[in-house]
Amino acid sequence: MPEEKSYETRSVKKLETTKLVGQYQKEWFMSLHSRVASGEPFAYVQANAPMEILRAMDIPYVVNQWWTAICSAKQMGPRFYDLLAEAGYRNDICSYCSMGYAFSLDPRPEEGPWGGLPHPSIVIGSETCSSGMKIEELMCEAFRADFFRIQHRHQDVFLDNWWEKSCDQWETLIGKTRLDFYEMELRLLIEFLEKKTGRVLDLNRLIETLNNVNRQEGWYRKTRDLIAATIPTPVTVTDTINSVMQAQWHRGSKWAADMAKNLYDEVRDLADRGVAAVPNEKIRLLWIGRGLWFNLAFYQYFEEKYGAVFVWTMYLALAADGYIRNNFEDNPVRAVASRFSFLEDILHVPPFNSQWFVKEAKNNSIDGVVFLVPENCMNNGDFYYNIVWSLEDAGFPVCVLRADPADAKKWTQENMVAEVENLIEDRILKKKERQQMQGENE
Amino acid sequence: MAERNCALQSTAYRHLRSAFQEKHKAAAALLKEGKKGVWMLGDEVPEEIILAAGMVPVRLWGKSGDRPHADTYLEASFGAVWRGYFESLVSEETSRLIDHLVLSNSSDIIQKLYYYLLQLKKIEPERHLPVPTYVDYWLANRDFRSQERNWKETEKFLNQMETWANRRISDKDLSEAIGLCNEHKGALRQLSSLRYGKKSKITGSEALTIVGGSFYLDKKEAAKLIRSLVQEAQEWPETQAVRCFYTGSLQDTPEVYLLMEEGGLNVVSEDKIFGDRYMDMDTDPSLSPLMAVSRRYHYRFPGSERSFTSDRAESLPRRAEETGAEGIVVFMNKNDESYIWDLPRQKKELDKLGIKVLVIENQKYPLDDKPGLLERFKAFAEEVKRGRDHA
Ligand code: SF4
Repeated sequence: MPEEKSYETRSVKKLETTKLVGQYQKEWFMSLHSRVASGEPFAYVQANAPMEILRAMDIPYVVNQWWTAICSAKQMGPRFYDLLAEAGYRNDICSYCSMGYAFSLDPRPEEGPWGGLPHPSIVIGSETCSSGMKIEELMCEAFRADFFRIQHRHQDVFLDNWWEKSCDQWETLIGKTRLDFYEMELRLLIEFLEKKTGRVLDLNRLIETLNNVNRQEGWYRKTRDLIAATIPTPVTVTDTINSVMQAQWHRGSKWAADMAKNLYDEVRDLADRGVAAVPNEKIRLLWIGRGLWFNLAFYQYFEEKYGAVFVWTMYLALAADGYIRNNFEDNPVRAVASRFSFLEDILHVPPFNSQWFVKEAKNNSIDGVVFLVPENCMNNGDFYYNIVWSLEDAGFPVCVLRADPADAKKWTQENMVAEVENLIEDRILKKKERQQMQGENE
Repeated sequence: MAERNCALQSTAYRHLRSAFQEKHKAAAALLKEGKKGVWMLGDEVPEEIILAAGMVPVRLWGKSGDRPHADTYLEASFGAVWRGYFESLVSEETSRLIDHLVLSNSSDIIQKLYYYLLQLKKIEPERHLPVPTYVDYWLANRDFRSQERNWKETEKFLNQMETWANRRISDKDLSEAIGLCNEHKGALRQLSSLRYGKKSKITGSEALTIVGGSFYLDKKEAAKLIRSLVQEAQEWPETQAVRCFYTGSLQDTPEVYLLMEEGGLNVVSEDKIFGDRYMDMDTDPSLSPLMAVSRRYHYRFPGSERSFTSDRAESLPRRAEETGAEGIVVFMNKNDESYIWDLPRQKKELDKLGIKVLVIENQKYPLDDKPGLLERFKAFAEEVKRGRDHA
């Protein structure tokens, strides 16, 4: 059963698009059961997986992090992590990546969100870390699925301002060696999928899918830019996070591209009418790190008291900057490879991550940054010193929250609130006061 | 158990031990007369190629004591061992010795250290930091694509070493270097054979000291010393302790092994570079040199950080049985605990063999509860002994 909390964990949703995608998601999960029951293949993948290929082959898939977010939001994390402990594993580490495996151990899977998850027939592994690859294998065996493991190759080209090159100069950005490598990996994956499912990847469908991706992410780009330019903001991250992510998991479909447009239209309308999400907006905050799915209300906690609004998470911004690939018609597989190979680097490899956060903080008129460092991830290493240093050097005060982003049981609301309040009171408000005094003196 | 007199009375042991304990001095001696040192971080750096290029491979050691730079720059997710290595790279005392560094894809954390170093060089250009390069082997599979990848990676590394050394590496150079490394490993395997089984004559801490010391000596000299030590050790008393296989966080000092010995346990083998994983197989001289090097790093005993649970559930119990281990000690530093995902599956296999497992988690550096650890080692030794009596 979901756990009750002494504080509010559910955010207030006001956008029509959020409701639409929520409804669609629920129906999609329900229909998944009948699709799988009728013998269709079903894949379980990681967030960075080349989903465009699965989409074009009409193979339904669920993303590990998507499923984690759903279970987390339904406050079911503790139930699943206890299953891990019962099976002899530890239930206090790798919570973000082990939810799928934990679920596979559930003797009553039908009690999971929306009737649970049918057993996948294919697992595509693409985790880089030691624990992640082991968890993928364990999960695959528990589900009795076929396993394809995508190999990785380190980054050896480090160009500044990657977002200026990712759409049109992706070949230069990633570098030939690495792109050749990932293109080959994806071609092997395609062969594997064709063999296992008896389905053929239709080149025209793949091109169509990539066009849909570009259309979808193009709308996100416009939305991100609109929010950045509108003060007070018409929407906060709690308004956008679900509608963006749920549609992102259906990336490449016409429906997802339409939902991205819907979102833009709604935000545009609010902005045009001068509607402020938080009428007393005084402070704009940027959130770095995985989403706090089990406690989205946390993002709204500081609105009333301080007029402090979270306007930025990576989800919308990554959609805006990380996915669009133009000029792909000659070799669409290579374009997918360029996206697949680089997505993790954006978030985890310096200087890609730090330069991007600074750029986004500037463009979004950010006053302060809250940085969630996952405590129980042994692979956590984005060179946070460099991120904090880069942001502070550019004038953005940062507070670091050390917490578990998936397991609600370990969240200490008071401490986390206190950390953010310190950032607001000791740094942001004082800076604003100083600036005001300076302005008055001049 | 403290160090044994039989070992301390051996000239060869003392020589190796002093190289191990005074690495700084030993490394400086290796690099005398302006020889170019290439430092290695990770288990899969092909030292044969560095030697073939006329340079000196030096294994990076972790700095003990305070680690202020690691505390400043690294996330908590970097376990104690990695923090020590980072400190060595950044602290004044050692960093000025290190101009060139090769990191291998032996764990994801090493890849992160590679990225961090590159960035640190940019944001703090005044620091003396080495020029790094990265060997990106794929170790988790042994299929054709992995073989081909690793072969190409070896060639790429060879080209890089030619650039650093500013000279060509011929097949003859490489074959000679392979021969030298095999000689060293062969001598170490003789030593290891004295650790295995009921008549174990070398303790785990002695073996770790010998292997570690040999890394900081000229390979020929090291092989000679080890061979002479093997002769002497035939006469050393057998250890009576409970025989264990060690896995988990890397031990690059004998501290934990000594504590285990005090508790009645003796490490007879391990899957770690300061031990049996270093010398478990030769670089095959019958193959083309490049292929041989690639295979040696690809086909050795699977380390946990780059292996699936199925491989480890198969290989580790087999190895433990081969070496005569009665128990397995899985010793994990805080945040270096990916081994836990191997455990339940491994345990099933170990149960079939009657091999018991002691799991130690969440260890800090420096060890913050030595008496508590000692008690756990003693209790485990007793448990295994009771099992023996029962059997
Ligand atoms: S270490 Fe981190 S990235 Fe790896 S499986 Fe665990 S939570 Fe996931």
